Amino acid sequence: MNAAEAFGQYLALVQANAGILDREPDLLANIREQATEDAADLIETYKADKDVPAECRTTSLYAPDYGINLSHIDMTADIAASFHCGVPNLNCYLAVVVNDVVHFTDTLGRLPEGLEIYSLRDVPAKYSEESSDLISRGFPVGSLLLTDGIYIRVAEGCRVDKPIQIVNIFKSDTPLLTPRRIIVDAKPESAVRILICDHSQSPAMQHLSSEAVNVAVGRGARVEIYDIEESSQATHRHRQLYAQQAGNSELVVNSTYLHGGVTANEYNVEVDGDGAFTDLSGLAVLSGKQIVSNKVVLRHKGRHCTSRQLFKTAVFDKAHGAFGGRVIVDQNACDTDAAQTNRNILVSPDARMDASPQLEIYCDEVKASHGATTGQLDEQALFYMQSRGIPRDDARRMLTQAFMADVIDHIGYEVLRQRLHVLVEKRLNGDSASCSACASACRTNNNEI
Amino acid sequence: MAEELLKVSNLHAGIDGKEILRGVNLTIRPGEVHAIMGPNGSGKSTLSGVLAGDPRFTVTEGSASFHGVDLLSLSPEDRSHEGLFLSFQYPVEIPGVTMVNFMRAAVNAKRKYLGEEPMSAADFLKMMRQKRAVVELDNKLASRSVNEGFSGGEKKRNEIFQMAVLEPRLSILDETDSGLDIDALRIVAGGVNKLRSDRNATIVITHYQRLLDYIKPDVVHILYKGRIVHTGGPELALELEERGYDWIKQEADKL
Repeated sequence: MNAAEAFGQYLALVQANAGILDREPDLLANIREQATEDAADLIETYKADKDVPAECRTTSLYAPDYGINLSHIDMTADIAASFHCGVPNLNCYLAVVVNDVVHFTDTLGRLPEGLEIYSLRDVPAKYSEESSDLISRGFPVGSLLLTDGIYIRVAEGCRVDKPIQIVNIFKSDTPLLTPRRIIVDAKPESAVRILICDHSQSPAMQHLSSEAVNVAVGRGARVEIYDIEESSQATHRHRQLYAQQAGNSELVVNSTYLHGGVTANEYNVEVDGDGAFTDLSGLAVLSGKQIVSNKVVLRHKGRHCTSRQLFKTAVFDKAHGAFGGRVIVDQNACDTDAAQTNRNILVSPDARMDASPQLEIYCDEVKASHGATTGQLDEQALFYMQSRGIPRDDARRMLTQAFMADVIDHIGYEVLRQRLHVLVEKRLNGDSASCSACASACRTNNNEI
Repeated sequence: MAEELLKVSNLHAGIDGKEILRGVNLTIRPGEVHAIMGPNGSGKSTLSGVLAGDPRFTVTEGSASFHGVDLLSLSPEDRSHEGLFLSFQYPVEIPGVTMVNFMRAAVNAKRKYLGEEPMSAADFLKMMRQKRAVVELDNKLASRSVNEGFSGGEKKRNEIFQMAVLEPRLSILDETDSGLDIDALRIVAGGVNKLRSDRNATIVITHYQRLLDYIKPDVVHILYKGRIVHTGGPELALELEERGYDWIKQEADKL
């Protein structure tokens, strides 16, 4: 399908529903107005991204005629109310997003001084003006259809005591595109940790999650963004992370893919200030016909900055993984220390992995490295384990888990680190093939799964 | 005469189309220790690999019966469950898999094969403690990744430790003495001797007589060009030590 058909259908839908949309809050109306122009431009100028698998390109992801909840009708409050997370000891501020409707739980009733969280439908005007660029960023089709989202503001010097967890749940009787957005505006010297979880309670229903996570990391601030995707084969996901970092700031991003259908993750990081630190990592376990693309564009503009990337993929069956990592070091970004590592294993002969690491360096005084390897499990290790009585399939799982261990081990958030070891082990054992078996299951009263 | 534990008949095997074993015959009974010696390239490690099921080797002819079971038709893991153990000449390092998890998986896989319940955590740890003592293996190695960063001596002691845990009916020690200093050799050999009984048997594959001072063989075989060309008692090993392999080669090549 071409761009005019894929994106044009949503443009037409918005134009046809102008009456409903006129009643939307100003902030969302402004985003839509801008996105309408951008979407039209996008149709004109669209070039297929050759680096990602065809299924992960936006023209493919947005091609189906999904339904849209343009009227922001909320029929799902009971799902949000009954959600509780299976991650033990996770004491957090919890927001639940059912499809594209944001629900704040009681945990958000009393926030510490300096932390403010709003629905995008009622962000105070002073903040929406201050953060307008950050809020409006996103893939034009997602922006065009946006009716809600989460806005998090962490005031200067505020170090948030507990993680903020955002749980995205999909539940629908009809195919649906859900535009989602999370804004994190972390002011200087602040610190915040955010965990985003994706689940599906309608695993057989076609779903596209179009989500933008936009982060501003202020001078000397530290932001950690973790996400776990454990949805279903019918779920497609287009996730765009955009971050800009000021001087001496720290950004940690980790993404874990356990289950889903087609996932396209984009990480765009601009390191503007001097002395900043960036740590991007991710792991994906793919089986069946799952397809996951992780695409990183990291631009160093400031001096004396350090960046680390570690992405690993284990591909089983006929699954298909892709990693595209582009690191750009600008002319003035001297003393940059950038390292990118991508390692993948193909566990079956039909598995496929595309890796394209790229370095673009316009400054002489830098240290930059990149490495990408795709291989198979060590046959000698497999035989050694089998010779001790460990069945070959179990040995493969143990080696795959061991292969992933360093990505998990370098997560500084201890509760999550321990949980991820368990979740990955369960995933490899095939225990969490559906939402109902998932260790972080969102339990509901009459769940038909 | 006691029953046969292992009976290898006319075994031919090779790697990448190149024949290495050219008709090996070998019979081992419970309680026996057999040494297999031979010059480099004679097929000693191929024989151990083929018996353990190393997929790099292809069997082209012959059979191996292990207490009545067709050994060559079994997967490597089932050979282990049936009581075969190979102590590797070069134990494999497995980064990210801890010794504890590795051994628990091995022990419970065998119990499952035998229709038994998995071992409780407490019982398992107690057993690990007892078995470690057999080869004086340091407790700290248990939490490390399998063989990763182990010294040469620690790797070989770790092999015998695994043997102690799995309680095999037939152990094949492939060049277990290589890379060992005299103290480590004594500990490893001592461990093997502690595990000996009249119900199990051992094949010791070695270049040198030295190991056989510690692990006394009942029978000594000489493997040359993929065949057992000479079989004798413990005195054969001493004779080899004295005279080298040349007389064996000449004798065999004449045939």
